[in-house]
Amino acid sequence: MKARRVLLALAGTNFLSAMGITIVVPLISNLDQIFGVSQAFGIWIITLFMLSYAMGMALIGRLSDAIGRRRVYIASMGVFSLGLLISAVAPSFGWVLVGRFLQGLGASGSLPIAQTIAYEHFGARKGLAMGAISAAFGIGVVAAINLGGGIYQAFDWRAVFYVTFALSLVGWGLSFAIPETLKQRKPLSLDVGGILTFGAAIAAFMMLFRGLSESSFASTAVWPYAAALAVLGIAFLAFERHMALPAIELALFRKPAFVAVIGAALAGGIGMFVFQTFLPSFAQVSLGYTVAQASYSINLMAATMILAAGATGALSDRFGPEKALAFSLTTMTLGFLLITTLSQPTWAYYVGSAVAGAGLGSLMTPINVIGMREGGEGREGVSSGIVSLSRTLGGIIGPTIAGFVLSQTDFSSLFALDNLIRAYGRIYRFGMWVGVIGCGFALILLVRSLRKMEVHAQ
Amino acid sequence: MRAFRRLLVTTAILAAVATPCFGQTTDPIEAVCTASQDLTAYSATIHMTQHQDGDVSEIEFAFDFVPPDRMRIVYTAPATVEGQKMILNADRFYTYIPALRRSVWQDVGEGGGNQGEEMGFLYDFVTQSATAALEQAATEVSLDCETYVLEHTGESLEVNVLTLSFDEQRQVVWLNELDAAPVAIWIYDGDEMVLEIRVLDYAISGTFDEAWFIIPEQ
Repeated sequence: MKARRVLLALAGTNFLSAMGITIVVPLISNLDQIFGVSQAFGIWIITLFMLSYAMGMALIGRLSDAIGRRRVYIASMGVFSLGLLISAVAPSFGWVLVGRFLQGLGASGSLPIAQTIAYEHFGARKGLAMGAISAAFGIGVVAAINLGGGIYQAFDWRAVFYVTFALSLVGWGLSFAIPETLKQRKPLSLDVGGILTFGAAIAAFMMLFRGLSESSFASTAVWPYAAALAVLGIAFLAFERHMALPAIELALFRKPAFVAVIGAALAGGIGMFVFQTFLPSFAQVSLGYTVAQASYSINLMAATMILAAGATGALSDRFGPEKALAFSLTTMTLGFLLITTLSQPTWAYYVGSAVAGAGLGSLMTPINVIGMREGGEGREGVSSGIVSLSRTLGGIIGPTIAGFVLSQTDFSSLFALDNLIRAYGRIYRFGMWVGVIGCGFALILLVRSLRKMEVHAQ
Repeated sequence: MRAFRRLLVTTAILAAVATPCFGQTTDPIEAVCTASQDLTAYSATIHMTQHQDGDVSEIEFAFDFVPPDRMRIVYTAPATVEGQKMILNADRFYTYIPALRRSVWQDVGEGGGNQGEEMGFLYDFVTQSATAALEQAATEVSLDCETYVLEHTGESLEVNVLTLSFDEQRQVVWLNELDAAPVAIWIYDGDEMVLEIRVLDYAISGTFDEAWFIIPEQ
C-alpha cells in the first residue's frame, strides 16, 4: 500500500480524534449556563472523556497486539463517531456525558495505534511519519477549539457535536485504508479487573480533588476518596502482578530508561493539557477577549505546534529522539515561564504560547520512539500504549490540580478578576515546575544515549 | 523646666498651624459617627489600588449603598472588568463577570454579604457602623493641614486625617471636613500598604432606583 495514502489515513483520523478532545473547551466557562447544571458537575464533560480515554489506552495496546492494529483502529473510530452522535442528540446532560465517555474510549485507540503502525510501517522514516501524525493531532486539538468557539457562538452546543460527528464519519471511512502491520499475534488476554481498578482509581483521584476544592481533607467529601485511591492503587498493582498478560506490563518499569521516558511523558502530558485547556479562558480573563476571540487567539500556538511536530520527526530521525525530547520539554518550560513573567499581558500571552506550542508540538514523536525502543521488540503496542497512557494521565492530573487552584478563587472579592488572573498565574507556574522535572528526565535519557554512542564509537 | 518650655513651644506651633485649617469646633470623630448614623443612602465612584505579592491591581467602580444591606457595584475600569456587577441584599449576593459570561449566586449565610468589607472604614461608614469600628480601634487625629481634590468634580476639600490602628491592620482615613464623609483610605498590613481607596465623586442621602438592587433569578 502506498506510504502516502497510509500516512494520510493515519494523520486524518488522528486529526479528527484530537478534535473530539478539545471541541468542548470553548464551552468550559459556560457549562453551568448551557446545561443548567452546576459548574462542578458540568466539568465532567472533560473529566469523563479523559477517564475513558485513559482506560481505553490501558486496554488498546494489548488488544491490538492480539487481534490486530487495523481492526482495533477501525472499531475505535466507530465508537468515537457513535459517542459524538449520542452527545449531539442527547435529551439531557447525563446523555451528553454517556456520549463523551464513548468518545474518550474511541479516541484512545487512535493515537497509540497510529504511532505503532507508523513505527512498524515506515522503517527508517518512522520519525517523519510519527511527526506528521503528531502534527495532525496538534492541528486537530487547535482546530477544534477554533471551530468549537465559532460554532457555539453562531449556533448552539448541539451543533458543536453534530459538526464533529459529520467529520468523524470521514475519519472512520479513512481508517479502512490503514494496513495491518502486526506480524505475530499474541494470545488475547483482557485484563478487565486491572483496567476497571485503574479507571476507578483515576475517578477517585478526580473526586478527591473535586472534594478538596470545596471542603477540607477531614471532610467526608474528601478523605473517603483518598482512602479509595490508596486501596484501588494497591489493588491495581496486585492485579497486574498476577496477570500473565497485564494491561500495564509492570516488568517494563524495571528498565530505567523506560521509567525515564514515562516520567517525561507524564510531565509533558501535564504541561500539554494544562497549557492548552486553560489558554482560551486565560485570554478571556487577562486580555478581555470574547469566547470566539479567545478561541482564535490560540492560533499562534497552533502554528508553532504544527511546525514543531513536523520538524521534530525529521530531527528525531537525524539526531536521535533524546535530543528532540530535550528540546521539546525545555521549550515547553520556557513557554510557561514567559507567559507568567513578561510584564506586558498581550506579549506574555502570545510569545509564551508560541514558544510553548513549539515544545508541545515536538513532544509526542520522541516519547513514542524512545518508549517503543526501550520497551523492546514485540512489545511495541503495549509500550506505545503505556507511553500514551502516561501522557494522558498527565492530561488528567494537570487540569484536575489546575481546576482545584481555580476553585480557590474568591469570586466575592472586589478584585475577583485579579484573583482569577493570579490563579491562572499559579497554574502556569505549576506547569513550569512540572516542565523542569520533565527536563530532568529528558536529561537522564540524553546523557544515557550520549554514553551509549561513546561506547559504540570505541 | 527646659522640657516644659519645649512642650509649650511645640503646642504653640501646632496650634498656629492647625487653627487656619481646622477652624471647626466639632470633633472629627464625633462628626463622622453622627454622619454615619444619619446616613440614608450613599453613592460614589471609587478607585481602588491593591498591592499584593509585588503586583498592583487597579479597579474603578460605581458604588451604591442603602443601609442596612443593599449594595450595588458596577465596574467601569479597567476594560477587562468593565460591566462586571455585584449586587447584595439581605439574603443573597450576586456577581456577574462579563469576561467569563459567568454569574455567581451566594446566600448571605454561606459566605456572601461581606463583599464591601475590603473597603475598610468606608464600608463601616456607609453601613452606619463607624461608631462601632472606632470603638475597636486605637484612634489618632492628625493636625496636619491637608486638602483633597475629588477627581471627577475637581472640587477641593479640606480634610481631617484619622489613623485607626487595629490588631494587625492600620487604616489612614481622610474625612471631608464639611460632612465628615471618608474620601480616601490607605490600608496597611503591618508596615506594608495593601489597599489604596480614593473616592472620585460622591453623594450622600440621594434617591435610588429600586430596580438597581434586584438580583436576577438563578
